Amino acid sequence: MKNIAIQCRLGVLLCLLTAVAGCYKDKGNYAYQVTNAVLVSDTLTRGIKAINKGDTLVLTPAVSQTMVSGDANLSYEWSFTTLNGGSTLRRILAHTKQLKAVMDSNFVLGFSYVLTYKVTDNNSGESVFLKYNISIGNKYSQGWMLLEDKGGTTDFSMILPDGEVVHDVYSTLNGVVLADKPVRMQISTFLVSDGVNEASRKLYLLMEHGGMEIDYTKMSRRYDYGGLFYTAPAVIQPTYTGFPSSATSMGSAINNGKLYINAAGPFPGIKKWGGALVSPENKLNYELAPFVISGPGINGNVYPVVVYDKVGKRFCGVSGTGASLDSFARGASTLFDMNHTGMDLIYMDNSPAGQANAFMKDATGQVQFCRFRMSYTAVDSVLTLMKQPVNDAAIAGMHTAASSLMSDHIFYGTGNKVYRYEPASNTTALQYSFPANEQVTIIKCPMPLADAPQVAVVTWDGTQSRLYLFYINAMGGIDSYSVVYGGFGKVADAEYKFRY
Amino acid sequence: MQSKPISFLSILLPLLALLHTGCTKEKALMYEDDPRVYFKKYNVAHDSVNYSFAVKDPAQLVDSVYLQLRIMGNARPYDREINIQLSDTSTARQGYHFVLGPQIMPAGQYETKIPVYLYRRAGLKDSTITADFIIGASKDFQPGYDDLPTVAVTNRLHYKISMDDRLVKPERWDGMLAPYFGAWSLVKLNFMIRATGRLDWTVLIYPNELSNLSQLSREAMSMYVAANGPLIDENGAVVEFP
Repeated sequence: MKNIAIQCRLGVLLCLLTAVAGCYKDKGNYAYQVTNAVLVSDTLTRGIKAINKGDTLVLTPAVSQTMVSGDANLSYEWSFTTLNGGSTLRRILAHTKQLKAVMDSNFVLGFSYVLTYKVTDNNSGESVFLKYNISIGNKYSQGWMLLEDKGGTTDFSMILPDGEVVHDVYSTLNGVVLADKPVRMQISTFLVSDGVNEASRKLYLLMEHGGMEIDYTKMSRRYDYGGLFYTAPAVIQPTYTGFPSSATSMGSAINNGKLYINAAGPFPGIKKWGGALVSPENKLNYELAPFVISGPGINGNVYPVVVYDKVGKRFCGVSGTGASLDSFARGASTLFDMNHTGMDLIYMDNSPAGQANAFMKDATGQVQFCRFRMSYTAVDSVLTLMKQPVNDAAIAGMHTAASSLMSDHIFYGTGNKVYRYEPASNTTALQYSFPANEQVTIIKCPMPLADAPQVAVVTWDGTQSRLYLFYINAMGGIDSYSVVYGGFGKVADAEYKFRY
Repeated sequence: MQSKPISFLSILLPLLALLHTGCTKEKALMYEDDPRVYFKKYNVAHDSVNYSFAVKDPAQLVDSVYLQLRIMGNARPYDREINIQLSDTSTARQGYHFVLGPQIMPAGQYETKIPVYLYRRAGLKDSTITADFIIGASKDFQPGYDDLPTVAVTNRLHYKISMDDRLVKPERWDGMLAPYFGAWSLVKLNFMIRATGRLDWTVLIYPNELSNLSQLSREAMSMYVAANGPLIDENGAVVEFP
């Protein structure tokens, strides 16, 4: 029995020791065995890879291993999921080290996809991944668009990034000829969410008695002009339709001389243009020039939109609610009266600093350069910044202009010449003279392109329009053009179409 | 000394039993209280609803609003009764001004919406009446929980429906409509309804559409004033939009 008692004591002791062992802290002193690591990389994983539908996507990521030479132990998988439409369906594309895949019917035009590259070490079973973002476009995704008057009908051509010129793009893609004279072509400066379609840049084509929104990717007609409004205006004569600034997300349309607003901020619901805004007198007693200035935002002491009333010879602002045209406070005007300039507006746009540049002609025929801002403070309510006569005989004949986005200069066209105006010195300088029979009709300064900032100049010689591209030099001017494209109908407007 | 091994065993066995308890799987702590039900209230489902037939088509004589209810405890595989009572403070008469739909929590559900059918009666033209509902005990549910001790204290055992047939100030006027339309007046709201064709101003309206409604109202007012002169409201003030 004594042995039994001892065994029992030992048993209890053993149990207690076992229980106490659970309280022992594991210090984790292990000897780790280094295993093979697979390394994959590709600079194309940064940003979005754009590719046209029907083209072949070739991806060649770099693959290496830390302990194994060769790649006999590796297996590969390329798969993709769509980013659009809420679907996350995953499909296998290939099992090859490098990808060479045609963007076929599995990929929808205008959609974006996440493409996943998986490399597995078959010895360890470990996998590493790369992710690519790809966007499916077409040959019309990017390039200069030229809106043409072709004997009273409207169409547009495109100059693609590789220099290829494609004529009659609208009629080719839509199968119809637009029997109306062109007025303007406008592209939003940012991706607009209208509550119906996928957010994208908005492309509007305006004609004398109609217009439309064009699908930015497919380049097909999406909505007639009247369909862009809650209630279609009785008279459709659009001169401006666009979303000029992401700072306000406020669309402006000038139709039949009246302003319509489309507040497209980051809130739910369908976004359309509303009713015509009334004047500061709560009347429709105004007619707007075809220019819209964008302010720096919609909240606080700002005017998100500023326009010019040709009847009242005055600027008008729009508040953040986009409800009506407002006159400016008494303290806003010092250099000229914003509420009654007594001048005719020749041209107006935003300066690179976000202020407004305006060329105006006073009662004596003198051209004045005016500049104002769209924001103010409680202690500084002055909006007017500059008013000075421009003493250059050629400026009186100005019929097109564009503020440079690279420096404080404005390019303008008179006759067959392009000039540059410098507000700081109040001087003009001849930049380029075209042949005498070529009249400068349009100047555009698009957002800087990938290679260098450009100025586009369109001319008309009575039989054809040409587009000249100039690079902006270090002094903010232009010298000789880099390339010219010809053979266009009479170009009414030109815009650069960015891929996104 | 015969008892010593027994005493060791008496220590050893409980000890082993204790150690063994560490190997048993712990059951999840589950709610096993008696089932309860309460009004589901969030920012989009207010404590009360103001309903006006005045903004509806004149031919519409009945409409419905919904009481949203949610239970505490688990769903059951059979329909269960809910007991919604009418408080003594109510001025609306059940069966005349309104009728409650079936008070049932469907089988397998945690939430339900019970319709309240509202009737357009003559007396609503000159008075606003209320139906004050309280959650009562039923054979299947006890009243659920009441106020939440948070910033937004919400009474989840009561719900009030106000109804009339005259234009009243929309409950969202000050927060949602005032920036676009200014101070409220009955004449102004009547004018806005005629100008825009919109009848219901009590629901959430997004800024884009608000902007459109404001523009239409202003445009209509400019034409009205040109033809008739200023529009004067019930307070003697000129109807204007800011």
